[in-house]
Amino acid sequence: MTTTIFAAKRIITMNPSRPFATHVAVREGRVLGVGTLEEVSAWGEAHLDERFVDQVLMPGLIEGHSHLVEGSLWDHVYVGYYDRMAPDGKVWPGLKSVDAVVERLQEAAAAMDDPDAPLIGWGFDPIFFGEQRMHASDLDRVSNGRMIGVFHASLHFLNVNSAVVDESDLSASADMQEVRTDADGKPTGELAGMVGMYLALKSMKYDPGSAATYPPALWNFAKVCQLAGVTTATDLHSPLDDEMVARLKAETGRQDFPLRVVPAFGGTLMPSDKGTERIGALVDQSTDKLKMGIVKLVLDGSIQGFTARLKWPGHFNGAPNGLWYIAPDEFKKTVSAYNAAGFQLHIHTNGDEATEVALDAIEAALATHPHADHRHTLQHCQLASDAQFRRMAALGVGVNLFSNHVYYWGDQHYELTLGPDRTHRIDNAGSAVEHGVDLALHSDAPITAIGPLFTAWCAVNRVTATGKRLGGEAERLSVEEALYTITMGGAISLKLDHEIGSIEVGKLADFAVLTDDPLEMDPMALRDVGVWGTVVGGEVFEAPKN
Amino acid sequence: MTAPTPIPVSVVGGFLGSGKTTLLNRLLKENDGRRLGLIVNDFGDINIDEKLIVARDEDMVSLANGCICCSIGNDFLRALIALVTRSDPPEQIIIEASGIADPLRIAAIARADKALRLQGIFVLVDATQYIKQSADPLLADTVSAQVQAADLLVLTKSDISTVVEVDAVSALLEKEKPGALRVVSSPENLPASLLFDFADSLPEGSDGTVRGHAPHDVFWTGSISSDQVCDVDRLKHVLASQAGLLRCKGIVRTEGGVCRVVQWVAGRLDVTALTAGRAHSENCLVYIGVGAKPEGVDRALQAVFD
Repeated sequence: MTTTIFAAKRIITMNPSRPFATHVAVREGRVLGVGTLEEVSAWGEAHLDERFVDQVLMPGLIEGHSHLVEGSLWDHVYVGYYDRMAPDGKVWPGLKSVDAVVERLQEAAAAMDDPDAPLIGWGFDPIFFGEQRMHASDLDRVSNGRMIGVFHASLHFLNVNSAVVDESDLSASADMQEVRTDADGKPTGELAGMVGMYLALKSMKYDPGSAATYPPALWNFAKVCQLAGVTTATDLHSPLDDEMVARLKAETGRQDFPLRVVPAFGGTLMPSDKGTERIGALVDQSTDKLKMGIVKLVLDGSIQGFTARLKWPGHFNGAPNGLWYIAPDEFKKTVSAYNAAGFQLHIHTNGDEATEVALDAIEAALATHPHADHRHTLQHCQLASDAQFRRMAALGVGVNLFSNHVYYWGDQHYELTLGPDRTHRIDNAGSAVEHGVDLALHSDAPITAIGPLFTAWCAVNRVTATGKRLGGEAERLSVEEALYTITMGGAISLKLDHEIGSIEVGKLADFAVLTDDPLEMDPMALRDVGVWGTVVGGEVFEAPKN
Repeated sequence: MTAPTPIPVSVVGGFLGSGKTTLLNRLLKENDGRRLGLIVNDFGDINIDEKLIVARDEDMVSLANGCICCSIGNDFLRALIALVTRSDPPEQIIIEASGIADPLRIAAIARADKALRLQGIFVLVDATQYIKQSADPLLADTVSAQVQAADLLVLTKSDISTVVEVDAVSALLEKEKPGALRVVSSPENLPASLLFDFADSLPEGSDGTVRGHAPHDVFWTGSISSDQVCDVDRLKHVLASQAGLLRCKGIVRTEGGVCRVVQWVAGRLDVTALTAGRAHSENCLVYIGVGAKPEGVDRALQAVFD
């Protein structure tokens, strides 16, 4: 029975009875003691590991809303506007023009052996290029023989080259809203919605959803997490079929797999009587690194995609209201079924109308089947009003806000989707704290990059990409609150706060190893905190340097 | 190499409870050997006769009567691609849109993929619920989008609603989508031939009225043939001006003597190349519509051949 004592410059524990320490003793993958060297040595013989004496330890960071798809995307070419770190630690610089995107794709094409293999890019976001859109002819500069598809950051749009336009004979369907056309009525190669995804899947044989059954993608996901100091991450909508569960068990079961994975079962993938049965059968198959039991429901779409369900006065630019992903009445029945069976629900609501319907459904479900500690959680919930936070508090509902939106889309919300007034209230973490609502924060990777310290920076500063500051002072979290939220907050929202979230005796020995002390920095520098790597269950995982 | 004939696709839409499952169950039961691909929301809702199952996996069931049923399961797109890319693809695909889906967005896929040909969007409207649904602020835009998407609106549940209710829903639909093609029919009585490609489902040379069991669901059909060259632009114009015309299909000789397939569905005319190796009657058109057959439709269509 070996004991290891990690010495650190400072340990931020998130345990209020011992907020700071310098040493942590680890035995059997769990925290044995936290304190001074003298205090933790009292447990007996131990190996003293001093590699972190210049680093700061925090509880392993928790990403409460991400998707394994992030891992599969890294098999392809990142062409996004912002810098993004690959699983190998290499930072791919953000691309600020269509020409730069073409150039990166040209390099990737040159490195491909098979001249017929399709080339896939991802993360593209033309919203930053003003009026300029990417055209099939741009991608033809990469190749007009090989099929090329470039996914937008949302994954709901796709740009293709002429090879795909011709293969699909898209000019014959150029009158559809899914097919963007130029002034001459010819398809530009930009496709929206299911049409784009269908052609990518069928013509290019590209399936971004295949991550689950593809071990390298699981590892890529875990490594991206590791680089961000994350030790527990969700896959917040999963079929959890037999094949997927087997893969997850096999990979997470390896000692060198650096992540705990919490998949949420997609609760509407089958009727709820069968769904409660399936997730029920999986709970007992959970391990230390694979936690099954939570259920995800999706009620509406996204604000930036104009598919969120908004209350009056609707979209600022007059776009019609968004979409229900499940009919409100069906949703109520589904919530009721999973609640009655005792499962914790994570409910995607973006618009305030969807949030209202979700709260109504939870209230009705709890009236017939009360659970004192249900911890149903609203995910994204970006437009919640003060009254809605009050209802959440009264109902015991938690919230996991998409704070990265403030930075990435805050300007677009201001100009286009919501207008000045409501944009100030997006992802209002301060209100959640004020009302005593359990709060977590997330990236929704791959929609934005995983990085809880960046997400915390967003919640602390509420600054958009162009430097506009959103919301009153009251909506900003303090650095201390934000750090609590990306550790304990995440753990509480996943009902894992007895196991993770703080560096505390008996909990799993999961640490984020930081090269800077986030409590000693200017809040505006929080996103620049360096991550050395992680410790998961006492195993040390140094991030690759690139 | 000639491109394979596109697979005709019908989309069946409508809000929850409008009768989509009843309709699909009927198609499943009545199918007689045709390779029919059905994409349904959930296997649990449809009546699959276990004795007929010849092969199955989690999301696809093949039946002895030729039907291949796919459940949307995890993903609608994967179900559709699995069906289309089979070594023995179906002759006809019918997609059940989910109760909240906009069928137009599903139909868009059939239009974008040249291996498919959109044959029609059929939207079922529950006569007992529609007025309530369209007054519900949470649902109004969803059901309205479905109505807007329809090539043919089918008012169901008329057997359990009053004449006044049916008239009120008809009036509301007329207001929402003026001039839309509309029939009153239970899913049981809707002629199955409507959802299928014409070629082998509409008796050639038939001319008259197809009557279901319900008093209201009246369709008219017609056909013409000619040995002259067809003026396609004129054909389009004539088709567009026929009240109640839902679909028209035929093979016509165009200028220069080239034979083309013409397909007209609710305002869209597709003119495509003729697939080699298929027996066909040249220069004939068959068509179907709803309501009273317009005066002179046969004559007008005959006149596009000169």
